[in-house]
Amino acid sequence: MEKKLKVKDLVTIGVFTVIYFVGMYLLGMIGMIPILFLIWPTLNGIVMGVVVMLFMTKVQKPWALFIFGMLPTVIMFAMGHTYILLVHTTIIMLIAEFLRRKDHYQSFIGTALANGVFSMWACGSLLQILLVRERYLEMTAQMVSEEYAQGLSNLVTVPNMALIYLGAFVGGILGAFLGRKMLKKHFEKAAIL
Amino acid sequence: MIRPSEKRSILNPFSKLAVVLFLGVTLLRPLDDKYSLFIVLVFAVFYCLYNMPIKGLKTTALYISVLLILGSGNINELHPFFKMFASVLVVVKIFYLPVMAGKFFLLTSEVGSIISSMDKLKIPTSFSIPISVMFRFFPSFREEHANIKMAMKVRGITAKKPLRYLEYVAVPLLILSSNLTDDIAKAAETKCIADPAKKVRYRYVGFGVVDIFFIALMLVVRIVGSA
Repeated sequence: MEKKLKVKDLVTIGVFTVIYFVGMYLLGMIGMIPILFLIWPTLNGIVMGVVVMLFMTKVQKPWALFIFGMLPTVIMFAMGHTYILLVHTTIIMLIAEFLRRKDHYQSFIGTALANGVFSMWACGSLLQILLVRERYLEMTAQMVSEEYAQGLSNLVTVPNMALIYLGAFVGGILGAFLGRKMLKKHFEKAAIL
Repeated sequence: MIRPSEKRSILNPFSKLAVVLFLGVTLLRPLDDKYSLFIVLVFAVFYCLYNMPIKGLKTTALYISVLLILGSGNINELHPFFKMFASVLVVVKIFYLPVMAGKFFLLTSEVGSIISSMDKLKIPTSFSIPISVMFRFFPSFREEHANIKMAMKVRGITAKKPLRYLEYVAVPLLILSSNLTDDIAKAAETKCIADPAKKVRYRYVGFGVVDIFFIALMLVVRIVGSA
């Protein structure tokens, strides 16, 4: 099997990035209600995991997942997110790529694990808030009220962040199972794969 | 030899991106209000240079009003409901500069000039091809989505049944996109996208005095103004 990315694979990456980005953005709309933003990574993992699974089955080559994962972040970066997100996603994608490499891009378990790790990148935008926490709380306490800031500081903490990461991972795994079901139900029948 | 178009854009897309990067630092090391207002004004001037004076005016007006509302200081006496709203304004203020710079980049850069400057910076093709494909594919994606939505509406599947809607719209979309991928790849291959020869682009992108001025100004304000 050819192991180098060809033009067709690169085009696939571009097309799937658009689908992923649009879907992710629409799901992100639930973040308008502040509390729901915390389950967004999980939801994103479940729903968009199907797209990532289809992508991973279509392109079973080194570095494809890495490039695919970096592109939404690059768009978000161009839209005004910070370098924190960029660094965070690079680390996550390297881990996901490594997991896929270990089982030679074939088995379901490896792909599912990679999907779980992959969906963790969405936590990066929340991580930004955690990193500016002190300043944000200070400003909120000044502008709004002490109690409100206190409530926020109880919400945005390191253990809660870990929970969000765990949620994203579990979401990604669930998305992988859902993706496999969808692949069997629809895509193999349509001879897409 | 065909000459690339003489029409030049004012700023190189990548100097705009570099500024997004600098301004991202304001999240961790905030700028004084005066300096951040100055940056907003510089962006307003550049919007005018790009023939979008209304956009520039809006950006400035929004920022000034956020500053005024937060600066007035009597938010403590407000009803709790409005306090929630005020905390949103705090977030707006923190993220304003980088988001504004990003929006400026997206609104004022043409696709051609982005691709052309990616050539110039020697970004590997494994990144630049997917990015060009994204720009090419986005409009057709919207079109296909509208078509499928219409077809499903006829069959009585609307967004009111979210799960069914997701399955019956997403699956055809994914299949269609997979087929479109093949078409785009063939079209790109016939245009020698994988050919290592030097490409002639429609848009010429340079790196001029304005770019140096823009980046230097932002850097200086960034260094001087860190509180």
